[in-house]
Amino acid sequence: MTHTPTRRRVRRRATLAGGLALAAGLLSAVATGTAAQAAPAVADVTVDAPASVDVGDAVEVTVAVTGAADLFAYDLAVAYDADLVEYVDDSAATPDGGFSDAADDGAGAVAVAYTRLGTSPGLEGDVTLATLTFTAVAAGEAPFDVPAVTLVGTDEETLTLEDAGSATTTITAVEVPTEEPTETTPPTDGGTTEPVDDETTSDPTSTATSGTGAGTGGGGPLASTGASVAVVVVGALLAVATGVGILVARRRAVASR
Amino acid sequence: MSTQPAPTAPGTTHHPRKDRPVTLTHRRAAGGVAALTLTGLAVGLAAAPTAVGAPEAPTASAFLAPYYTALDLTGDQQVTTDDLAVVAEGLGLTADDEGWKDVALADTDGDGVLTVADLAAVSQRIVYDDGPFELVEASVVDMQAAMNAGVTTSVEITQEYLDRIAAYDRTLVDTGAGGRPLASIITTSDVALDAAKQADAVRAEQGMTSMLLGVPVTVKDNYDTKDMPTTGGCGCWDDNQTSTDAAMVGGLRADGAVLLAKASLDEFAFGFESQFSSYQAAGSATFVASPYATSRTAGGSSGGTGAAISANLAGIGFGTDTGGSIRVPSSYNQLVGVRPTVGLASRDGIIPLALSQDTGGPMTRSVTDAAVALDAVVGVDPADPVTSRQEGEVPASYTQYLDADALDGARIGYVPSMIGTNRTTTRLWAETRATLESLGATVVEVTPPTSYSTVLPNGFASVLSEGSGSTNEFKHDLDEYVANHLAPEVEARTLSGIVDSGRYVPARRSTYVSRGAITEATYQAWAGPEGTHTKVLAEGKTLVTQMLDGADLDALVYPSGNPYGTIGTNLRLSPNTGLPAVSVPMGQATAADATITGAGVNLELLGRDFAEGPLLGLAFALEQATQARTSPALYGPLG
Repeated sequence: MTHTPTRRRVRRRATLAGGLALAAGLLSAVATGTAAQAAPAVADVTVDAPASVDVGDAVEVTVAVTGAADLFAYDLAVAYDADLVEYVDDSAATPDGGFSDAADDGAGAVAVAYTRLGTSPGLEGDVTLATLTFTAVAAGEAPFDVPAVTLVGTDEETLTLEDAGSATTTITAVEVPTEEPTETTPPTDGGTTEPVDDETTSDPTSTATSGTGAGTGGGGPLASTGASVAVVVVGALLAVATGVGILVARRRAVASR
Repeated sequence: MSTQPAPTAPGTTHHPRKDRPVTLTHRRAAGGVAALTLTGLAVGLAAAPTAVGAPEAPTASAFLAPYYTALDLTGDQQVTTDDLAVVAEGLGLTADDEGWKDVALADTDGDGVLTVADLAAVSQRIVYDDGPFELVEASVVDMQAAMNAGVTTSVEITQEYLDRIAAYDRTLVDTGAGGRPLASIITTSDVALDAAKQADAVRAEQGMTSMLLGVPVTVKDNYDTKDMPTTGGCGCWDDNQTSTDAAMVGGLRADGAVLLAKASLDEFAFGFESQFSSYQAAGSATFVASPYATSRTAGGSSGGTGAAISANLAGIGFGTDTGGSIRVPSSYNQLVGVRPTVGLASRDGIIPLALSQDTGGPMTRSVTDAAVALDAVVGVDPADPVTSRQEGEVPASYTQYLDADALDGARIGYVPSMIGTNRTTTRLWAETRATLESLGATVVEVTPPTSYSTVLPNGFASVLSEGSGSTNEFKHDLDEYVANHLAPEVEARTLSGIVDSGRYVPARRSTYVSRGAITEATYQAWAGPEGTHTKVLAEGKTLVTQMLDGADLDALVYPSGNPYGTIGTNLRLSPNTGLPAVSVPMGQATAADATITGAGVNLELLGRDFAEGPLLGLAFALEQATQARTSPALYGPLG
């Protein structure tokens, strides 16, 4: 795996109208692309995150595919609740032997793009597309959603998988001692509040979903998104991406700020 | 210099847009294709992004323009991960956004938005491949991509070619009736691995500085090399270790090529069946074999280059051609051969045969390789004054013409009498003609003039019937080489001295004696300023150029040969006009042809002065459609 420096997206803003016009244009592109039924393919997409962590802990989120074929490039976003977790800069890890880029909008979305180089063969088999590390900053149910993954084959055919997967991590507030310990015996370990494993849950987070690969039904979410500019960032991200893929998710994440 | 959208990947079947502009430095774009979009280009360039990342542009020339350069965003004439970073930064931008102009070039699918598909498309213009690398049939692009990815190195490639030479060249691989060793190599370099190591160091420090960086090259043993003797195929010159390189070899080294070996040839580049006496006892000589059928000749006189390149004993080959010596072995060995315009590449430091017609040029497994190789060897050289003709006629890179659509709209002429009657050749021509037409070319039957002038009384026929300059010029030109280049250790310094040495191909004796008797007066009457040959060549060029112009042709085509044989006087057209020719495989003889099953036959494309670029483009389009070359099965990967 190769670690990818993070860039902060601060540059451009799109007007809402412009974004929608773009989205409408993309819809047909997605539909056309998927009709070709060509190269790149994956059997399944999984999103994994730890079941629970404490505030202050690292949260490692992994987006992976199985059964990949001719996977030359891809683009994905991980939407997160910026009130509960913060993305750790430069933490995105992607497969070796390629170029990658990660951009965090600081407000709930990290976008990762990866491509193989030159005439190198596409990735095959089980591939971890991205591993992102967050820091838990507040207690709550922290969702990590991958609204879309766009796959590109060596022949430049694209395939967009929507609602690609999600995972949730329960973040627990750390019990803060209210008074100084009075015992003279020092603690034997660094802290008592580190429930690393929560035996009551068995990895409930890997809600793997295969993408549909179709751009159907995008009009509704888009229209509603357009009507409600003030929706929370994650909500807007999901709604847009459902219809038109990660690209607009990138833009919307920026434009919504 | 220019770039344009969506050109074609050399060696791929990618289909570019039709409107490909070309950097045009010669006086006439052949036909409609090349010249089509110069106007559009200027407009496009005005809007095109300039350097985004304030690049420190290397001075290296464009690599495989335009395919590998057209999507350069950082101004260094190639696509690297720096360009990908620019694209990644712009992901999501639309045509309405500020900053779009900086990345618009990367919107390869033209949908007005920068997506990961565009990122992938730009990435594919990087010369890089981390997949498995197989040396057999590898092109220069394959080698560069694998070396750039660290999959292999120049040292490894060079060693593998040396291993293949050791394993295959003098070994009886073909155990069938009449099977012979190839005998395609006379000398291998002791310092090739050092040069390869140096090339690897350059790559590590500076990246791919040239498309030839670290690529092992074999030149015919009549090109001077300061690290290997130059025998001309003659035992009489075994000791000719020159102190300098031929000008063309210098060009190859300057581009980082590794001079691997010297290829065998017909002694002093005379004939079409390569036989040489270098490093053999007096009275002995060896024939060079075709790797497809070792009982057959590899052709000549550049037969060693032909056999070696075809059998994958080196990456790139160079031969010389006075009357067919590049094109014959190219046809016999299913290679691309370029006989350049006389004056495109300096002959200084090449053992001459007849300077009125001598040329040096590449012999390669693909048109792309030929274009890359040709780029390295062009240039004006005061030591070969005829090269001054090329001023303003040479493009920045011949690779810019490699367009799979180059035949679309082209006009291709042929003279029926040059097709001949051989069953294989006529069948392949019929198939090729259909292919040319299917690719959008118009194939035109040309009726050549039957009279022209007192110099060419029978018009076109007079051009084709003019003999080779070798009879009357060899002694004169060889004397100049001896005076300027031959190592002082060599004792045989005249034709009579060569005969006296006894160290030559035995059957050659009478020819050396007769050519040694040519007087200066005879030479002048033939090749002097007012010589008969001089006039025929000059008027021949005019006549054939008028034929091309009259029918608005991009090229005149004809078979370079028949299966393991020549065809009429076809081979004389290029040398007797000085016009360039590119020879490219058409296919092979089948059993049904009842000729020589498996034998290759090339199509030759002849064009105007310095039209190598357009010719290579047409040949590339044909090659991409036919993929006619086969690899000789006897010389596969080493076990």
